[in-house]
Order: sequence, then structure tokens, then C-alpha cells
Amino acid sequence: MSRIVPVRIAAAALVPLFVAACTPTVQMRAPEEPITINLNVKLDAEVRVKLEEKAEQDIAQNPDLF
Amino acid sequence: MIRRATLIVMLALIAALGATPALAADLDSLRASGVIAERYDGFVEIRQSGSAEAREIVEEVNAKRREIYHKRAESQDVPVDQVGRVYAKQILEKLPEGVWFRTPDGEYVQK
Repeated sequence: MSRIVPVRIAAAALVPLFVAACTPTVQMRAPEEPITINLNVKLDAEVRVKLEEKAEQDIAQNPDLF
Repeated sequence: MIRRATLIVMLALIAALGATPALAADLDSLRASGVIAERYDGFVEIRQSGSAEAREIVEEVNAKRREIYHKRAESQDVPVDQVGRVYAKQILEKLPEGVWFRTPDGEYVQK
């Protein structure tokens, strides 16, 4: 028991290295979390809410454009 | 000669399909295939070298979106680019996964 555990820990520590070695350098992977992009909107909160409502409507009413 | 033949075929295709009703399906499929990307400013762009038809769709969609953004900008008395960004956020939320989006720093991310 006491001799095997350190060996196992060492083996476990090596696993990420092997995985990393096998990972291609160029990755085209979609982010797992939803993308949050800062779009730098500089508007009054009130105006912004109004515009968001309008956007919602316009997008729903023009499925061919959005 | 080849150019003219291509043009005739394209025009025939457009006439056969009916340019406007096909717009939605084309935009969706071209976004899904990665040819067209959505942008942070509320407009679309060609991401991969696209066909003339794809470019036409980008122009048409952008022209019509621009009209809407201008109208909203005027009624709220705000800069039109800000309106586009608000719309971009909503568009992004509604996009299916796999569609490409261009961020303000010029990078493409895939939803």
C-alpha cells in the first residue's frame, strides 16, 4: 500500500503530460461556455433597454434578414 | 466567354429560385457553412471566399439592416453604430451553434 501509492501518484502526474503531447497545436474548438463578448455599447440604460426590445421585434419580424 | 456563361447561368438560377424568398435559407445555410459571419457591429461579412451570390446576399442583408438601424438611431437619437451593436448582441443570442462571429478586436469565434 504505502509503496504503491507514490507510484500511482507519479503515474497520474504523468497523464496530463502525455495528453498535452498528443494535443494538436492548432485548435479549432468551439468554446464550451456561451460566448460573452464585450461589444462596447455606450448607451443610457433606458435607451439600451428600449433598443433591445426593438431589436427583439425587428429580428422576429424579419427572419430573412437576421 | 466563360465569364459571360457563368453570369448567364447565375442569372438563370436567381430567376428560377426567386432572389428574395430564398434569402433567409441562403443566409442561414451560408452562416452554417461558415462562408458568412455575423459581426459585432450588427452586420454580416464574407468570412471565407464566397461565391458572387454570397457577396450579393451580404450586401442585400446589410443594406436592409442598415435601414432598420438608421430608423432606430433616429427615433432614439443615438449613434447608429451603437444601435448595430445592440442588435449584434441579440442576433448572437439567437444564432444556432456553429455560426461564426467577429468580435470588435477582429477575431472570429464560433458559437
